[in-house]
This record gives sequence, structure tokens and C-alpha cells, in this order.
Amino acid sequence: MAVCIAVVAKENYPLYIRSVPSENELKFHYTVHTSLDVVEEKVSAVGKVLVDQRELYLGLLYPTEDYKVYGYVTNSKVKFVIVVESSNTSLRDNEIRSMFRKLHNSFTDVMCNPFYNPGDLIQSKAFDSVVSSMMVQAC
Amino acid sequence: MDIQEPQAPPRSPRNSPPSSPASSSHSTCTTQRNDDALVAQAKHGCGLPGGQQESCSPKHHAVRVPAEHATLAKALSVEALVDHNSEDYSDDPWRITEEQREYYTRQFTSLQPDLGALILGSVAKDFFTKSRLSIRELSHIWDLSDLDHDGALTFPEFCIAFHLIVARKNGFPVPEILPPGLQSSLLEQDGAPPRPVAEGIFFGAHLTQLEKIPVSPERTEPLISFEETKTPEQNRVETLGPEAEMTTSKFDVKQEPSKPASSPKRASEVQDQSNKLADTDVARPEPACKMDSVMRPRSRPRSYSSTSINDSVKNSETPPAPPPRRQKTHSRASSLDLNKLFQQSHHEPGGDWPLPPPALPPRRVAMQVQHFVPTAEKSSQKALRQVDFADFTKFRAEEKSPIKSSGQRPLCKAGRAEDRVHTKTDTGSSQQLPQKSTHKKYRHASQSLDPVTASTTGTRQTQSRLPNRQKKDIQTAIRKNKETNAVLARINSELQQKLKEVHQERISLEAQLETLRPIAFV
Repeated sequence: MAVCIAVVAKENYPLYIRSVPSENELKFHYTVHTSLDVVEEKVSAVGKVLVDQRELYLGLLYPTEDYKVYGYVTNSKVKFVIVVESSNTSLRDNEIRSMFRKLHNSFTDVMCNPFYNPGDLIQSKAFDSVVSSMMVQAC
Repeated sequence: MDIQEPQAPPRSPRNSPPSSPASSSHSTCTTQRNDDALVAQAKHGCGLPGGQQESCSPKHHAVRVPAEHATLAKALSVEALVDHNSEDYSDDPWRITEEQREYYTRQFTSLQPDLGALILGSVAKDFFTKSRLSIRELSHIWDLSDLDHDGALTFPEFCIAFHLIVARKNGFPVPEILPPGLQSSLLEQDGAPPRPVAEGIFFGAHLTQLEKIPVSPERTEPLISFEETKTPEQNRVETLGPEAEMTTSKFDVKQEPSKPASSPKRASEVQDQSNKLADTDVARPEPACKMDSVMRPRSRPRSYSSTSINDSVKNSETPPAPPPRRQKTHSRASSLDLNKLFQQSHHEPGGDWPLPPPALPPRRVAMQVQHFVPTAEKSSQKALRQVDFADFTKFRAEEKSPIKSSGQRPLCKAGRAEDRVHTKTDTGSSQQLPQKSTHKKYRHASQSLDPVTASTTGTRQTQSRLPNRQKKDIQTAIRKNKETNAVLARINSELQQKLKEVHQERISLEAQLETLRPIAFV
């Protein structure tokens, strides 16, 4: 279960960011922001034009003492960032991939909505519900 | 529409909030309503009893909301008008009534004549934006109604979206999930109506120009022209393809196999209507058992065929000869007008230039030679030539134009320079100048125009119709004058500014002089 999920646009501004409100949200915002550098590094390091699932999923960006950050970039350079707690070691890589896949699908549905202008903040309730299902249940 | 009736009995107290959006949209509703919606509403309203006219159009609900609020308390009076629909209303406000469905069908056909096809997202966006709801709400409604997430609305999806918008405008908050009433209406639209009726609706909706004849004859007509519509179908399928890849839309997947299967059948039997009927009959039972998604692909080819019918009709009409080439817009030097000129020359008595058009080049040479000979013997002829010269350039389809002009026309361009030189041309033109003072302008604009216009106008006894050529020349002259005016104005302003600066400098220098003068004196 994720602690924070963020969608960052191609120009590196956030389209959607949501975190479990138990902790200081600013810390997560900062973490997501710094993770963008790692994403850029990984994306540019590839250098190829291949587009496959492997390339989309960037894997563990960097671990810290408290949590781990995973990244995923779409073909249109929209980045998804998931922050999970380090203590939650039961999460496998496949689960992270499935989470990203669900995120990508719901993001696509948002894009299909003609009333959504690319670049706007994502306010779709369907997208919110998908994200909520992946977040840590606030207790 | 009759949204208010179902809402009145169960939820009258809930309708107090919508006054604010209603008031906000009230001021603009009258000015920004779609004309089609108005027409549709007018038609719809005429068919309903007077009491229902207040609520005939959902688009006008904003206007009617205040009235609706007043009538909400009087549920009985409203119910009396819709006794036949009372069952549906009392059950579920989210249920789409027949009148609403008819209205939605009409609106759908106004956007997309084919009831089985899709309304693209951009089209739907423009349409729903007219409802003056916020983008956020419209986006949410879209999320609810676009069930296959393909960015386009099928007819059931459109009905759902429209119904949600109507409900929202009447004060119902947009639900988080699709209400079961709407979901059931979706199913009912798919499976409940019998196949022939559904087909009839599809045909009747898009074959607006054709009468609503029995279904079987209609089927044959579209089938005949199915080949022509294959490409638009395929294009649409292709456009939907990428979206289908990303989403799991059923009808796209089903539609593609069904269409290729049906198209070769129809292509092979274009001329055999009976076979086509058989094929369609065979094809129809197969998808009949399936739900709306399958009916859609089956009907989509036919719906496309409606446009193909028009195309086939148009194709049959267009083969006839293309429109005759316009001859009035030739440039001054065009020699193509000779044909008309010679035609006119035939009408003209005493044509001095009966030369046929193919002989133009030699004629031109001859004319030049004649021009170079400043003999007075042909002064009259030359004058006429001048006239013709002018006529040729200025007037095209003039029946009274002298025939001589025809011969001079090809020459006018070539010999114009020489004409300028010749005094006779000037004299010839000067004779005509007083008659047309307005053409003096052309002298400044283009010298070639002046004698021509003057002479032509002089010869022309009837100036009733102004030839297009003259108009064009006038327009070009006006344009040039305007350009020069603009340039001169700009230069004028620049010089004015320079003058101001120089003036300022002069003033400052004088001031300095004044201060220094006592010293100088001293």
C-alpha cells in the first residue's frame, strides 16, 4: 500500500498528488520533487527509442531510511511516482507494477474525457477512487 | 421534457438548491441556446399539452426552473398531465421516459445522423458545454456515461449523459456512480425493443430525407452503396482502434470482425438485392441474440450507407459536364476572350475583324503594323480600334461591343505601349474622357486602364451593366491608392515627429542662447 502517489506532467509540474495525511505532506511533496531528478536520469540514460513495459516501469528510484520511491514514466513523459514505506516489505515488485498499470489505465480514462484539458489538475473522481484503493488505509 | 414530473412527487424539498445555477444560467440561456434545441423544443412543445410546454426542453429548464419550483408543490396537476407516464416517474427519477428518449434521439441525430455510430468526444464536448454546467461537473458526467472509456459516446451513453445533465440542471447532484435506473434504461434500450423496430428507428433517424418505408426495402438501398461507405467505416474503426487498444471496449472488437465479414458479402452482391437481403437476414440473426454492442456494428454499416446513398445520388448527378468556365475574370491581356468576342462580333453588324481566333498571331502582327502607320485614313478605324481596344479590356460579354474590339483585344497588351505613344490613341481616348470623368482616377493608378476605360465607356451606349473586368480594375486601382495613401500617411507621421524633435531642439538652443546672451554682451 502506498503512502503517497503523485502524477507529474511532462513539464515536471504535478498534475495530481495525494498522500496519506498522517504525516507531514510537505515531506512527501519534497520527496516526489527530488525523485524527478532520478527519473530524468534514468530516462535519459536509456537513450533508446524502445517503448515497452520494462522501459515504462523505472523501478526503485532510491530508498531512504523511511520509505522507498518507485517511478514509472509513460510514453508521453508523464511520470507516476509511488512512495511506499520501507517497513512494508511485503510489497513485491509485481505488485508495484500492477499498481502502476492501474494508475496508467485510469489516467488514460481521464485523458479520454473530452472535458479534460491536458495539463489541468486531475479532478476525476474515478481516478481518485483508483488512487484511494491503492493508498494505505488511514487508521 | 418532463423531468420535473418524476422529481416532483418524491423529491420536492430537494429542489430548492438549484435556484442559483438556474439563475446564473437563466440570463444566458436565452441567448446561448442552440438553435436546433430551440427548434426541437418548439416541435416537441407543440406536440405536448399546454401545461407540459413549460418543461418541454431540458435546455430551457434553466428558464423554467423558477416555474418548476412553483409547480413542484402542485404535483397533482403535473401528474394529471402525464398520467400515462406516472408509473415511470413514481418509480425512479433516473429513468428515461419515452418523451425524453425521443428528445435525446433527436438531439443525437442532430449531431450524428447514425444512431448506431459514435459521437466523438470533441463534438460531445461542444454540445454539452452549451448546457452551461461547469467543466468539472461535465467531466464527471462524462466519466459516468462513457462506459467503455473510448472518448466517444454511443447512443445509450449519450442518453445517459444527457439525462444526467438534465437532472443536474434540475437540481439533482450528479451521483457518484451510475444510478441503476439509468443502467436499466441502457439495458432496456439494448435488448427490449425488437430488432426490426430498432432497425427501423436507426433507419428512420438517419434516412431523414427518405420516407419511413418498411424496413426491408430500406435495407436494400443501403446495401447497394455499402462499398462506397466502407472507407469511412474503416476510417472510423481505425480511429477507434488505438483507443480500443488502450481500453477494453467490447463493441469495437466485435464491430471489426463483423464488418469485414459483412462487407465482402455485400461487395460481392452489389447488384443482387435478393441475395443481399438473404445475407443480411443471415447476418442479422447472429447478432440479434447479442446486446446493443453487437447491434451497433450491424447497424453502423447501414447508417453509413445513408450517407452513401446521398453520395451515390450525388455521384450520379455530378458526371454531367462540369460548369462552364468563367470568362469574365480574365486579365486584361488574356486572349481567351476572343471566343466570346467573336461570338459577339457575329451579332455586331459591320464587323471589321472577322478573323477567326486561330489566326490571332498573324492578326496581332498585322495590327501592330497598322498601329505603327500613323495614317489618318484609318483614323476612324483606329478610333474604333481604340474603342474596341478599350472594349476588349474592359467589357467581356457585351453584345453591343463593336466587333473591332475583338481583333484588338489580343493586341491591346502587345500594342499598348505603342498605343501610348501614338497621339491618336490619346486623341481617341480624350474624346471619351469627358464622358467618363470617373475614369480619370485610373490614369494615376495605371495608365493602361485610362484610355481603355474611357474609350470603352464612350463607345458603350448603355452603361447599365458594369463588367466584372472594369470592377476588378477599379478595385485594384482603389487598392493601390489605398496603399499609397497608407505609405504617405506613415511618412507624414514620421516627418511630423521629426519636426517636433527639431522644434524641441531649437527651443532648447534658444534658451541656451538667452542664458548666454548677457555674457556675450558683456
